Amino acid sequence: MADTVVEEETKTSSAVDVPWNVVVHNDPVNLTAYVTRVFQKVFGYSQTRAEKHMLEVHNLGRSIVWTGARERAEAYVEQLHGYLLLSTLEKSV
Amino acid sequence: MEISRPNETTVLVARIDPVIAELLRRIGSSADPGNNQRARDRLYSPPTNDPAEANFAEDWQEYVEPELARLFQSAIEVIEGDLKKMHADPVTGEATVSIPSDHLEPWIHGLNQARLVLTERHKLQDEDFDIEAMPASDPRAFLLLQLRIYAQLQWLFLRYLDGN
Repeated sequence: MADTVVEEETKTSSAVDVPWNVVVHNDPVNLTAYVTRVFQKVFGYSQTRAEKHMLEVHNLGRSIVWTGARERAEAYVEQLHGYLLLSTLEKSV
Repeated sequence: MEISRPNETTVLVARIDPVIAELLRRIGSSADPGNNQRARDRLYSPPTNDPAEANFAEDWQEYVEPELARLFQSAIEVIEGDLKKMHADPVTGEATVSIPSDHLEPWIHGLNQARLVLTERHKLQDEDFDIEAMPASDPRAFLLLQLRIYAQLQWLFLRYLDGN
């Protein structure tokens, strides 16, 4: 019984600690200037860094725009959806 | 159509052709996905592609999507409020609308939403946006005009927000 408890605690700790990616996916409608501005507004990125991610989205189809704790990643995805960017959460491998 | 910023608190859109004025009046209805599933799926896209996160996706639908719907609706209400004050010159028919600077964000959002919904509702493909010109008889001609006008306004309002 004691072993089982220890195992559960280990699993919980692992799930919380794993970093999560916020990914933005390309779509043909959102203007590049709009996407850049959203990255600046949501993440506080500089113009240069925001444009780098925008170009990744545009040219590669997706960009990992932020990596970190799950709760904060969820909040960022919600904000990006509020700006109508296609955005998802995924475990960082 | 002429767009200017007479002072820090106002953007003035003047000499609006009656056709363009009608397109502006259609922003609200264009941004409404109604029962169109493609448009709804675009506005309310899933927060994860991982099947193991099904519970998270369900919670998202229940708790986050209603919040997003309210956010989207509030932007449209701001735009429609401004457009109610749009007035036309009785001689030329050209309209003028004054937009408070602090309404630019909702305008940018609403125009974006309208473009996304129209694109999904009419199943436009990437290549459709590359068409330079098409016969006026083509049913997509008016739609593409609408999308381009909205994109142009969105771009100009973004520039104003950036201080250019």
